[in-house]
Amino acid sequence: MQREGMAAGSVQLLQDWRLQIDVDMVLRGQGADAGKMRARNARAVAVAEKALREGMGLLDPRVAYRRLAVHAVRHERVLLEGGGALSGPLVTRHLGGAQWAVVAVATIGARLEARISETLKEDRALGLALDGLGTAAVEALAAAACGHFDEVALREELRSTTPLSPGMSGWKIEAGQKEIFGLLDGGAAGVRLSACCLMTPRKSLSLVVGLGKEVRMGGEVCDFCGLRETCRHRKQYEALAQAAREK
Amino acid sequence: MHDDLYLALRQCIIDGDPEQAIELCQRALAAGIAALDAINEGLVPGLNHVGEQFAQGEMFLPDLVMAGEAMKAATAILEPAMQKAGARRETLGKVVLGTVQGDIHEIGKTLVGTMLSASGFEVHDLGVDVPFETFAVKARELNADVVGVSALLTTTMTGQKNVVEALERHGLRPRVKIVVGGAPVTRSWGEEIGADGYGEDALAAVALAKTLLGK
Ligand code: B12
Repeated sequence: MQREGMAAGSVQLLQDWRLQIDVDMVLRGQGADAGKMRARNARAVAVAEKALREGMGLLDPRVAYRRLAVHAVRHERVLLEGGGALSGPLVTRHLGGAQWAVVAVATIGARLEARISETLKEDRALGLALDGLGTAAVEALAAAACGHFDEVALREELRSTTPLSPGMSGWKIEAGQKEIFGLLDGGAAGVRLSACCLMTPRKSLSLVVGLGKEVRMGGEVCDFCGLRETCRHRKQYEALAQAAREK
Repeated sequence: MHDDLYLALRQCIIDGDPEQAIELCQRALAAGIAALDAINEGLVPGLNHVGEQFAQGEMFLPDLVMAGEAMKAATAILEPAMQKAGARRETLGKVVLGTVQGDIHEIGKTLVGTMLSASGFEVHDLGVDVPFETFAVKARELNADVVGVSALLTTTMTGQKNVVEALERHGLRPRVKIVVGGAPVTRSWGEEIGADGYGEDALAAVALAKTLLGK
């Protein structure tokens, strides 16, 4: 992956990622507790290993992003350079003190997805494991992209906010996705937004990070999710957060 | 009399082991066990155990799917024997299932289908991005008892309401029950759109379909 800084203004594409995905991440990507699975279900672990072998070569990780100066915050809207804006209580709360907003879309492409659909017809356990791999991979990609944004921020003696995604509490999918895709101006790493605001390829994530002298990290992703108490995927996100803290 | 074999059948479902399931079913038939007994005394208790463990957070989706796959392999062996004996495993009901128009999310819906079939429902999976109207047309054509509609995001979940309306337009309500599910779906959303029920996961979907059909 290119390691230069971040050009302001135009859409940039980051490719050639070397994602590190292990079997536990594939298990967690299926909503499972990796430790409990390992202790009890060797077959499921073997299926996850197989998914890793078959699926890693089908990943096409790409991140498109655009770094835009924050001009002002007004009436629950963050006004950006070039006339665009991000709106809603979540972004205004977190990006209020930021000098820059980085809007990004991360995807692992469509090849794995096609394999998942095919596999689900014959071998549902492997299909589910491949799906788990896809989820783990796009999450890891988004985390790596945010790691890159953090590094750039550090070099410029800035700090970065927690990544925020449309669909989190306080940011409606309809509003957020249209704004992000509008700002990426057709250059969203090959990801398309449907009329229902669904991204294809499916295994894609959109997010915004604020950079600035005064911004605060302010919580982990699960703190902004309505399913926090019941979610079977929480361990996956906690593990990602832990890995990010350790780096 | 055949307690050990029943226990082994139960265990192969818990282990999610299709090969073992096939072998044990063949052994059971050779030992003169009626196919229906093998299902009811061996396989079903195994599936129930997996369900309980899942509900308690001790088992997870891969366990469920593997149990479902083992069940499928086992019933494929037992089915012909049952037909020969003139017996039939009671079909709990016919379910038409799909992910709603505008949504291409596949995995949740497919797992619901797996567990419904494993539990004895006849499932017709229409796939993803299924037009509202198609749910109704297929429900009529197949004389379905239940229509299940899945959605991943709040933006596509609204389509579940259109499916309820399509079934009403086709005069299929209230005979055909509608159940909804998917990550953002809640009980109150189900009530608001006039669905008969909401299931939070694949096992809840089975319990719900059974309750709605009085099974
Ligand atoms: C994994 C995941 C992802 C993955 C992959 C999704 C996929 N599977 O392809 C990735 C990381 C790519 C992703 C992306 C996004 N996600 Co997401 N994701 C999840 C997560 C953690 C799990 C979903 C999942 O796949 N579960 C496993 C499957 C098997 O479960 P399931 O589909 O829910 O199905 C089960 C039940 O719902 C039920 N069920 C399903 N269908 C039916 C049907 C019937 C009839 C019945 C009875 C039951 C039933 O049974 C199934 C089996 O047990 C959920 C949170 C959660 N805990 O559910 C958020 C969640 C769905 N995502 C969410 C969001 C916001 C997004 C994004 C928009 C974020 C963004 N801005 O980029 C994108 C959208 C992607 C797109 N293509 O447009 C929100 C949606 C909120 C909303 N307002 O709709 C959720 C709820 C998290 C949250 N609260 O913030 N996501």
